[in-house]
Amino acid sequence: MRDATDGSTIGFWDDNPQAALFQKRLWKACIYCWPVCLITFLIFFLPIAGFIPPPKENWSADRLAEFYSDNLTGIRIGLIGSMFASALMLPFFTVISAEMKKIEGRMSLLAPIQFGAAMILVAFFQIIALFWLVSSLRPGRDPEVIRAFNDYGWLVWTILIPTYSLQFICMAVAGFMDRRPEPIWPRWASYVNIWVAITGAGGVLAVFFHSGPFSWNGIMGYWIPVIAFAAGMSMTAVLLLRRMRYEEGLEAATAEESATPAVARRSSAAPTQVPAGAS
Amino acid sequence: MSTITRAADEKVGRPKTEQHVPGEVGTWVFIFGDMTIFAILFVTYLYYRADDPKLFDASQKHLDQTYGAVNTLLLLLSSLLVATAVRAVRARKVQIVPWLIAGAFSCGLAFSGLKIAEWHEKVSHGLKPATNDFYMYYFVLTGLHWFHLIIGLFVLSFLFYLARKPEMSKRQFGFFEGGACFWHMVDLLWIVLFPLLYLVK
Repeated sequence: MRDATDGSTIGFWDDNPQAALFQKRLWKACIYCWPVCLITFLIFFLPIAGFIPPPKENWSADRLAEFYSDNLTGIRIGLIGSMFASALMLPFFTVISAEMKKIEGRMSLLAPIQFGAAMILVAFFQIIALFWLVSSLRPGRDPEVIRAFNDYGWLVWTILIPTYSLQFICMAVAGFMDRRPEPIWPRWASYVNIWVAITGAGGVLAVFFHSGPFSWNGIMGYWIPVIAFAAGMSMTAVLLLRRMRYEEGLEAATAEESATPAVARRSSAAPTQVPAGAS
Repeated sequence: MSTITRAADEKVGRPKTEQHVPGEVGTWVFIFGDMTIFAILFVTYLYYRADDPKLFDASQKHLDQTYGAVNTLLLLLSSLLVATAVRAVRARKVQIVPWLIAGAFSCGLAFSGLKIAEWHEKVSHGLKPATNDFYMYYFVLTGLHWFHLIIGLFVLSFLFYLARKPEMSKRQFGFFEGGACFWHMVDLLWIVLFPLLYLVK
């Protein structure tokens, strides 16, 4: 049933309608992992851990040790929560790769590259949360050690950009390759993805500057890349849902087409044969 | 099947506008996005400048305005050449287009050479990004602009390649216009950057 030029999921789903329904729900659930991830991460990171805005890069070791000891329980709970929340990015990024594979066909490269880069991003979200947890583990220890682990976490947060950019570049290239009538990423969305890929790169300056806009708590080091990342991925989440609705419409239209001859043959039985939503 | 696909497409398809936007609409998303980032940087710079105007004024005196002024003229000239090239393509006078693009490219190259000479001079006088806030902004802002200029030079090389074709398709002309707009953005950013760093008192 699948139209080769259209690349829709018609014919991809299981032949058993029950199984196909489950597959579709799973697909949708994986897309919805993104908003759930974003909201739960924000809750654990902002009010509970108090990591937004981040502790400043130019704080003394003692000041930083105080930041940790003042909110020990909140930081521990918040970081564990954000670890679980950030793991939800993986299902979402996997749907992105699955959609890319539909664009690319069997000889697919962008989809696995995006997936691999996404794995690195999610892995480091886990790793840096653990480093910050180490900072909070023994409040009495040498403040310099606390600061070193804290430094590591925030430097990764701002500078681990290359694979993050790669994800957005893969999405942009896939968007430009998409020749189907209703592409997932319209061309403007591909340009947005390129822009996000480049904008995030401003974070690398955090290693040179301990204060001001380019430090890890500055506007270029923190706010713009974080907001651009969240906004860019949210855009893709909306576009993936839109693509899913479009394919459901195609599927309904196909079902209607195959039902039409039946209408001609057995006109009395016809109305019950047309699936709901086809008209 | 195919007719159904098309019918379904028409249902969700967006209306097409007839007005002409140079390049693709998407390139403008990118250009405005980039300019927003620079605008935020400029405001941040002015904000920190207002904190310590004495330091900024004193440091600014060590900048050589000749470099800045010559570079401004170079970029304005290159923009003019690129704009003329786009007009020439529209008027189907294609023979001259590669020359115009090559001229713009040379201006960009000269800008880049002067910029590197200027940085080298500053660093050899002990004025580095770590010297003070002014030099931090000076190096970062001019550095980010230079990075865009280098991307722009690659874009111009691609335009040169397109210009040597006997006939451009509509899509290729879209790229040509979009690339020209990007180069104008590089020029525009410098025109704001030059007074901000070299002249603001």
